[in-house]
Amino acid sequence: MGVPLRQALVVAKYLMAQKLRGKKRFPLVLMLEPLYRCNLECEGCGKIQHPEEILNTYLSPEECWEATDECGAPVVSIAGGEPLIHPEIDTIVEGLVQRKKFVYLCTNAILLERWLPKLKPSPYLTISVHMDGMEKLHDAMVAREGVFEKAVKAIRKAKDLGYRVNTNTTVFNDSAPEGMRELFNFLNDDLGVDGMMISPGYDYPKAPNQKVFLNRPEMIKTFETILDSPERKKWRFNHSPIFLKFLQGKKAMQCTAWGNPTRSVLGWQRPCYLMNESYADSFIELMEETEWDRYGFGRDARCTNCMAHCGYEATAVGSMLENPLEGLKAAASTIGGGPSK
Amino acid sequence: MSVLIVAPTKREARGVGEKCVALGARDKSIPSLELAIAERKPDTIIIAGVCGGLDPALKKGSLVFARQVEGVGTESTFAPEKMIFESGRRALRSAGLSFVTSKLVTQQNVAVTTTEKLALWNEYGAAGVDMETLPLIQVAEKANIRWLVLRAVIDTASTTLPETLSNWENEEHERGIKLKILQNPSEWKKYLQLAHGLRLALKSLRVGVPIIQKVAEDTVSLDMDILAQ
Ligand code: SF4
Ligand code: SF4
Repeated sequence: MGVPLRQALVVAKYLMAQKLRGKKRFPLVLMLEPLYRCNLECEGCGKIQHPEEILNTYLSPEECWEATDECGAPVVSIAGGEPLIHPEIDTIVEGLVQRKKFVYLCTNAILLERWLPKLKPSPYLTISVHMDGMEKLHDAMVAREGVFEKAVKAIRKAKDLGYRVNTNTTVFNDSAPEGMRELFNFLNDDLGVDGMMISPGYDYPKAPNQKVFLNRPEMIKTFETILDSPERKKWRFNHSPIFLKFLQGKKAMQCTAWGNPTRSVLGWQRPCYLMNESYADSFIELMEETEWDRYGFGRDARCTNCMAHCGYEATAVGSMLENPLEGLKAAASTIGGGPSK
Repeated sequence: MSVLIVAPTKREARGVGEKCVALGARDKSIPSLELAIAERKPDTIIIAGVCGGLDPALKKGSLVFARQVEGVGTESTFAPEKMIFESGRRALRSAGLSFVTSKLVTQQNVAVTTTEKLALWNEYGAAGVDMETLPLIQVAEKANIRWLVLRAVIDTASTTLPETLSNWENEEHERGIKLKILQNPSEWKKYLQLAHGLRLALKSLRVGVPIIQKVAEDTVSLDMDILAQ
């Protein structure tokens, strides 16, 4: 199971409460981007191409907490940029944990060992480490040698110190299915991570290397091959079974962009974590004034090659409310997690 | 600006309203539309009707305002004129209707099973599927007339239609199918659900089509030389 029982129960309770209140749209995971600066420049990343003054802007802990309170989602995924560059990331995390939010701290792990003494292990905190492949592929995708080794060392140390550690793998066109299986076996069995996330890379127009992205039919084929493996049963994925079926093209789903609202240094991002069409001044403005039905597969050309969990995991959880049997399965397995950049 | 509203079947045309022209069966629809164009000389054609839902978020009666129309297994893709389409989208939104602007695909047969619908969804990302829109657009394009498509979902992506419908071709040849339904009580429930979907779809079209029609009447394309008319 990729998610602790406590988290599954809190999320299930939250969902029931929304349903009872008759709410049509409500957030599940707040995507919090307290900064855009990063210490890497990954091949498929579309998050870091901002002017210097924006890269130098960081959200304060108070702004992060305020956004969390405003949004009310039970899960907060701290992304960026690289959150561990933020000088007050420990304070931000502590404040969120105090609010009993399930926090996913997403990192490339370069600075993780340095931060571990300052972060406190907690059932509310999961460190989510970016791992795109075994050593050769990962270092190629993050465009720097030695990052894989550093991340592995940091994961081992975090596990030894009692942290919950997840990994977050983005699948690109160089991610050969055998290589992905080898990676999942390594993360699952050797490193003993608590949960793994997978998502196809989103074709950011600004990403440094435009050739790394798969198109939708290729994504479906790749995930079918990766997940069609006897080892699959033992892999602890931090995803609902419905989302995994969707990735394999076996389940039709539409995006639920409002499920994972994004607050960055520029404001509340419209319409989703992956596209920044405009910014709202408040969470309420984002929810109420966005034309949500305009986005999603078939509705917007920019969504054609998006199967990312930040858009579709909330849909999977939504079907939980409509179909309690599927829902129980989903709740028992997961929600939460880090973004796929 | 004059507007011609058409629907493939009499059933749909009746549901849309008295101004809507029923074009008839697939092979008949092209000459019928050509004739209507010759007689009415419209500036805009609105193609209305029902469609099978492919976008899993859509419910029975949801409207699909097509931003693109594609033929299954063909390279043919058409998009409506941007200005009138955007005006239509804004008007539907202001009226508070439940609709999506998405792709629509046209194929030769009814998409009966959920598996077939899932395959179409994965391949085309279309909100709905029908059997008529593409050839009608080709006629409009040939006549250099702008067009808009508004369809309403009759069956959702998660619904399997009665097996007997896989042979459906047009309204005129429904007798055989009706006979088969009578002989097959196990499919009655599915037909009742379909009848319910049809009611909801026609209700949505009755509200949505006049809104689009008003937009078409009021919108002059940039390339229309109104002074010359
Ligand atoms: S994907 Fe993450 S680690 Fe890589 S450059 Fe982007 S923000 Fe940094
Ligand atoms: S499909 Fe992807 S890119 Fe489009 S709105 Fe949803 S999350 Fe964003």
